[in-house]
Amino acid sequence: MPNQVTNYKCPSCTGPLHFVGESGKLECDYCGSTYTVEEIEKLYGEKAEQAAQAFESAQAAPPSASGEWDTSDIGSEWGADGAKMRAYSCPSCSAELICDETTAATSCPYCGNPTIVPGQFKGVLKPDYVLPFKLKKEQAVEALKKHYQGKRLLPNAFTNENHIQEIKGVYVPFWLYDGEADADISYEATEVSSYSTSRERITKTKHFNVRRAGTVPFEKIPADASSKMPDNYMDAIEPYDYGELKPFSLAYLPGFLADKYDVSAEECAARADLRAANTAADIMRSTVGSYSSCVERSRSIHLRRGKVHYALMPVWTLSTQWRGQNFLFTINGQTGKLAGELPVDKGKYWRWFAGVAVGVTAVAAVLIKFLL
Amino acid sequence: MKRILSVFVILLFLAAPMACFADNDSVDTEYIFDFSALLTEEQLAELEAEAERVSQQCGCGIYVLTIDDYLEHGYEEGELWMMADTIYERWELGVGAQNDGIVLVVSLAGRNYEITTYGDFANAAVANYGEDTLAEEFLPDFRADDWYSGIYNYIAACRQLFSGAENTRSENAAPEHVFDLAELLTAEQLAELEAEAALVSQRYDCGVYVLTINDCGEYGYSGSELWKLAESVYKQWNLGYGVQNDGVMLVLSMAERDYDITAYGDFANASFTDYGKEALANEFLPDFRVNDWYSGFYHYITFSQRMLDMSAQGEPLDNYDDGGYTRGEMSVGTSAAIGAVPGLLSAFGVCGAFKRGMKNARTAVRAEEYVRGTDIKLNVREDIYTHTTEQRTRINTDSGGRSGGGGTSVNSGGFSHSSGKF
Repeated sequence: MPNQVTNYKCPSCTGPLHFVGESGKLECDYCGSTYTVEEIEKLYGEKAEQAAQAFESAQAAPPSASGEWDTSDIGSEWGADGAKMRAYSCPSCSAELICDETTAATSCPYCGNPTIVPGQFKGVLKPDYVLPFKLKKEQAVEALKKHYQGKRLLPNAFTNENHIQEIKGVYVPFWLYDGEADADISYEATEVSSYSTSRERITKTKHFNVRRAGTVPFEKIPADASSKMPDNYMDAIEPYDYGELKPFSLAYLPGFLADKYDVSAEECAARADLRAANTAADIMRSTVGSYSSCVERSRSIHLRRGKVHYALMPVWTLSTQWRGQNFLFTINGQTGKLAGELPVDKGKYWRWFAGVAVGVTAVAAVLIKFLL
Repeated sequence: MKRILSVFVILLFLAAPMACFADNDSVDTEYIFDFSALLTEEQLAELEAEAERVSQQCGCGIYVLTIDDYLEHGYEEGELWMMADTIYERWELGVGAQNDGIVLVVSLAGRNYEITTYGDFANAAVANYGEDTLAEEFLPDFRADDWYSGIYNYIAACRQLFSGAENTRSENAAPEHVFDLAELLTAEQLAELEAEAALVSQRYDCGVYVLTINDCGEYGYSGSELWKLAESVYKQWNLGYGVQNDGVMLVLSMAERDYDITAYGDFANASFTDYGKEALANEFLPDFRVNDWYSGFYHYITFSQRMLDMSAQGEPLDNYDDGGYTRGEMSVGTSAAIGAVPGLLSAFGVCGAFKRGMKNARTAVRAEEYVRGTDIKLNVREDIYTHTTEQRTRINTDSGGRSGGGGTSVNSGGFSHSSGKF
């Protein structure tokens, strides 16, 4: 059974509604009525329309020419929707979570602590976008089981079904950075050709000074805004299909927790800067022809930082304990891509090591003995 | 009957040649056999050393035998020459493939002497020089009973006549062997080395050459192309001996302190194997590194002579080491120990791959998925050619017929090389 109870009211029977990723609609558990998100949003106010307008304006806005990220238009106030939100905090790992008033958090998705306590909903921006869960919990479980397959060093007990039941769906807060990178890079390249005469091998090397300069635009480079979620876990389950990105609506939240951002856009910006600069350099390098060698001599990359957006991304999480150590797995709620660290059975490791070493040694010894 | 008795005595004499005179000689010698005890031990040792040195330099054994009376050994009057011939053959005297050598036998009782030569080279040398001329070098001393001076002058005269003979014997020989273009040697040193090189070259019908230059760049070659310069010089100067122009040449380029040992011709290539060239280089490099040019060249020539002598006897200086492993000889323990290396490496590799597969969470450092591809602008695209460099590498072709790491690598031009820095 799920830990959170979906109870978005059905317009027909006032029964609970929950979002089904496969159909992309909200379904009533009692009367079976289905509604599109738009229909529910229409019923629950005009906030979605405002968010849509914000989405369109964000798409049309050019990158800022300033050297700082433009966070002036980031997120918005919750307004009347704030009254429909709840906050929870985990006394074990200090995670702060929010959800709609119909959802109850019973355990921490990060550390698994069951004594999660209600808190006060305040000081949180309303997201610009939300990427709805597309992957059902059962599919996430299957993805995890599939990940276990072929892991020869995985302890047998770790694949126990009970561990997999702890999986939870969490909307993780992300900052999405727009911008451009102006790159000017110089290389030293060579073209090598060789031919042989009857007495010599002659190698001729042509040397070139190569320069590439250009502009590379970026759109929505993601960086998670939760200190509880390890950055490498979030990076590893990228990319997301932004084509399914929606203006934020409460209608997507029922049944899921949402992590409250606790790392500012400015603090996360360094990660986006690094990724943008490296990628711009890669693209410049990719335009250099098929030289025999190409060594970068100098580079100048200027970032023109643009808008920052606030979005919630769907992530299935599994946190479990194994011999006193906490193991976290994250699964992209849209694509099913999984990231995590599995425990290593040292006994299996050394058995494999001995088996391979003895086997290869025996074969090699025979070959050496009889062939050399 | 007298003849039969003489033959019997001779056979006894030949059966135990040294024992016959053992009491007269307390010094173990190979060139000076002073059975009449005409010399002191010090004189004998000194003359033995000189005879050995000159013999090795000339490639021709120089021997002296003193006896009390050859008639006591079963020979008739006037048969001292016969005794000398017999001793030479039965004692297996001589140097080189033809056992070239010269022996002076002195019989005190009748104050007789006999000079006997053996081998084509020695015979021709003494014939050209004149036996009487040679005798004049020692006879005045012998007449004054100055045996030491007489034998010493005999050895010195032999050295002179063999060197002179070598210098005039070969019609195909180049007039010079030591080309000191870098002027590292004094005139005396140059003359001495030239004589030595000529002697060895003519003795083995294989030229031994030295060439020093200031900078191979002056001749249009880079430091790494000294071997090309050597080949060019060897061909253009028509160096070498015999129908195949056999020869070995040491070239020094002083600017980069490069050296190259070049051999040409079947005999030279067979004599100066790859291993042999390394051994040869080890002979002169210590001298060159302290700028002792004369000693370095001297050691080069004398070691070349040794290598040519070994080759003439069918055993060129070479290394036939095949790594120590032959089929069926390796123990199980050894093969297992060697096999454990790939075994452990494989185990680390496989288990390392397994372990890496247990963790796939890695920080992203690139963002190619978030590039608006259609909006990329490439403002500058410059590819400016600056210059061209060229590198030439010599192609070695194995001369074949040798296995196990020995032999000589001969290139398609017929040359073999060994190069380095000094």
